Amino acid sequence: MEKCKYLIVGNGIAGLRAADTIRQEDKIGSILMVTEEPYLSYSRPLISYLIGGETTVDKMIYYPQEWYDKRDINIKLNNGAVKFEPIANKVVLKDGTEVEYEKLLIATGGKSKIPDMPGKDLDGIYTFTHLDTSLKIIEKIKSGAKRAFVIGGGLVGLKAAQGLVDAGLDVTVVIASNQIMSQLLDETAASIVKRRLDRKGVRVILNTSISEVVGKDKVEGIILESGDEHDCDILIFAKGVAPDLKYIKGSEIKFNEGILVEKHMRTNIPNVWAAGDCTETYEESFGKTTTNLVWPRASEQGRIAGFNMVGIPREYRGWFWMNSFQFYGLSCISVGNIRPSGGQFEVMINQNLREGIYRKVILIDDKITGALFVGKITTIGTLNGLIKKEVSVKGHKEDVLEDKLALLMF
Amino acid sequence: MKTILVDFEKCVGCRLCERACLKKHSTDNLEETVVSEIEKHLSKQRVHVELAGTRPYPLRCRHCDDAACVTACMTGAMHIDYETGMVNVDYDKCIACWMCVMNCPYGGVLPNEDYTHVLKCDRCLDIDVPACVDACPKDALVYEEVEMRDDNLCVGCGLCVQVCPFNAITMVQTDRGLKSRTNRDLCRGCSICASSCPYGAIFMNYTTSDKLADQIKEVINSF
Repeated sequence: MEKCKYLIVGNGIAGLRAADTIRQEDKIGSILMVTEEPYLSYSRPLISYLIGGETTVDKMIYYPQEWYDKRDINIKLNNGAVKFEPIANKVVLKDGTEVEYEKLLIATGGKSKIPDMPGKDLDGIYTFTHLDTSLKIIEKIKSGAKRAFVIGGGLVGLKAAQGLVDAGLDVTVVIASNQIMSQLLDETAASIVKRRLDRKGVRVILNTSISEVVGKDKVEGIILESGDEHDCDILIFAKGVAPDLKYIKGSEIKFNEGILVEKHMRTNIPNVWAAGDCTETYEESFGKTTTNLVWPRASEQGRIAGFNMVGIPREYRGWFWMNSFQFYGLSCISVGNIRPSGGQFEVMINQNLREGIYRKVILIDDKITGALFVGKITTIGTLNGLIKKEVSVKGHKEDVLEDKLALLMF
Repeated sequence: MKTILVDFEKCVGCRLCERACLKKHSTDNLEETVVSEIEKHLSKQRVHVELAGTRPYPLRCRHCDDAACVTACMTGAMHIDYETGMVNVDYDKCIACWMCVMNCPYGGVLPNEDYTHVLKCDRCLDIDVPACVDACPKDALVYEEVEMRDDNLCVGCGLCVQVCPFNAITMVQTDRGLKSRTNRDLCRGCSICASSCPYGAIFMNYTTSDKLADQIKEVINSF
C-alpha cells in the first residue's frame, strides 16, 4: 500500500495543471500522478502537427523529468487506475498497487469511438487522440500508405487531414453535414476555410458518411452511403469524443454522461474532485449540465480543481464556446454563440473576402454575445473580455469591428 | 522587483514607445530609417498606443500572476518564469494557434507581422531600463519598484522578514529605530510582505487603491 496526500489520475492537461497549481500553493504535501500513458504529459492538440513533421515528440512533452523532480511530483507511467474505492480512500493501479490518498483528482479524459459497421476492426483504422496513434500512423506512412480518409469535419478531423497532407498523402475528408466545422463557423467563414484547404490539397466530401470498410486484414477501401467506393490505406475516425467512465462505473462516484461535479469541481464524495474531459458541469451558456470535451475547458478546470484541493476556493464559472485555430496561414477564432436564433439580435459584419478577411460580431441588447474572426484576429482578445464581462458597447459599436484593440473595458 | 507601470493621465499618445520597442526588437537597421518607413514595421512592436474613449492609452503585457494566456497555451510555449515573475514565450514551441491572443483581455499578446508566432513584452531584460520607458518623454511609462514602504508606519516588528519567501527583507538599525529594508535584487514582487504587514507600512505600487480609483475615474470620464 502506497500513501500520498494528493493523488491525480490522468496526466492530460487537466491533471498537469492541477499538479502544478497544487505545488504552487502547497509546498510539502506529497503529489502522485498515475496514468496509462507511456509518456510524460504532452500536448494532445499537437499530434496532427507531429504527423505533418512540424513538431517532434520532444517538443510536445510539456516539461522534462527534471521539472517534476524539482517540484517533487511523483509519476507512474503505464500504470493507470483500474479501480476506485472512494469510501476507503483507495485506488488500485493496473499493476495491482494500492494507493491510499487524502485527496483525489480524477482527470481521465475522454475516449473516441469507432461507429459500428462492417470492417471496423481492421488494421489501419485509427481514432485521433493519442500520441501513440500518431506514431503508428507515421509508421504506416513509412511502410507505403498513400491514400487516407478522415471521417468527421470538426477541428480534430481537419487538423488530422492537414497533418496527413503535409506528410505527402492523398487525403479526403468525409463530412455528414453541409459545411465544415459546423459548430465553430458560419457558412461564409466555412467556405473561406474550405477554399484554403482545397488549394492545399485537402479534398472534402460533404453531405455523406461512411457505411462500410473493405479489406481482408487491413483497410483496402471504404464504401460511402452514396454507394461510391474508394481505395484507402489509412482511415481516421474523428467523430467526437465522450468521457471515459470505464473504471468509474461500479464505484460510488456519481456520473451521468460524465462525472458530475459542482462548481468547485468536487464530486459527490467530499475528498474527490474531477476535472477535464471526463466531467459533466453546469454550463450557464447552455442552461444545463453538459459534457464538453475541449482543450481550454480541461486546462481551466484542472487549475480550478488544483486550487480547491489545497483549500483555496475557486469557482468554475462555466465555459462558453470558444476556439482558435490556423490552417495554412489562415487564422480563425470563434467565440460565444455565432449562430443566434430567435429573439432580438444584431449582426455586424466587416469583410474583404478577396483577402480572406471576414469579421462578424453578434450583439444582443448592445452586449456582444459572439464573434467570429477569420484572417485578421488581433482584436479578439479584448472583444472576448467584453463578452465575458458582459459590457455594453452602446455608442461604440463602430469601434468593435475596427482593427484596433478597442479598450472599452479596463 | 521592478515592473513597467502606466500613468494614464500623462500619456499624450505620441507613440514613441511603440517606435522604441520596434527598434529594440527589430533585426533590421532602423537607425537611419525615416518615420514613415518605420510606420510600415509597426506590427512588430509589443506595445500599442490606442484610444480609450478620447484618451490615449499604451497597451502592453501586464505579466499577470494568474495569466490567462498561460492557462490557454496548448503547447506549453507560454509560461511563467518563476525566477523573474515574467510571462515569457518559448518561440521554439509556439505553433501560432492564437489561443493566447483569444484569451488575453488586455491586448498584450498579439500575432507577429506574418502570423507565424506571437509577440509580447519581454521587458527588455538585457538593458537596465526597458526601451519603451526610456523613450517616453512624459514619464507616462515608468519602470519602478513595485514594493514600497512607509517608514513612519513601520514599527520594526520583523514579521515581513519571516514571511518573505525569497529572504529579500532584513531589519536595519536606522536613526529612527529598527526598520525593514528590501534587497531589490532578491525581491520578486510577490506582495506577501504587503499583505501580512499589520501596520500597512509596506504596499505594492501596482495595487494602491487610490491609483486604481484614479484610473477607473479617468476611463469613465473619457466616455
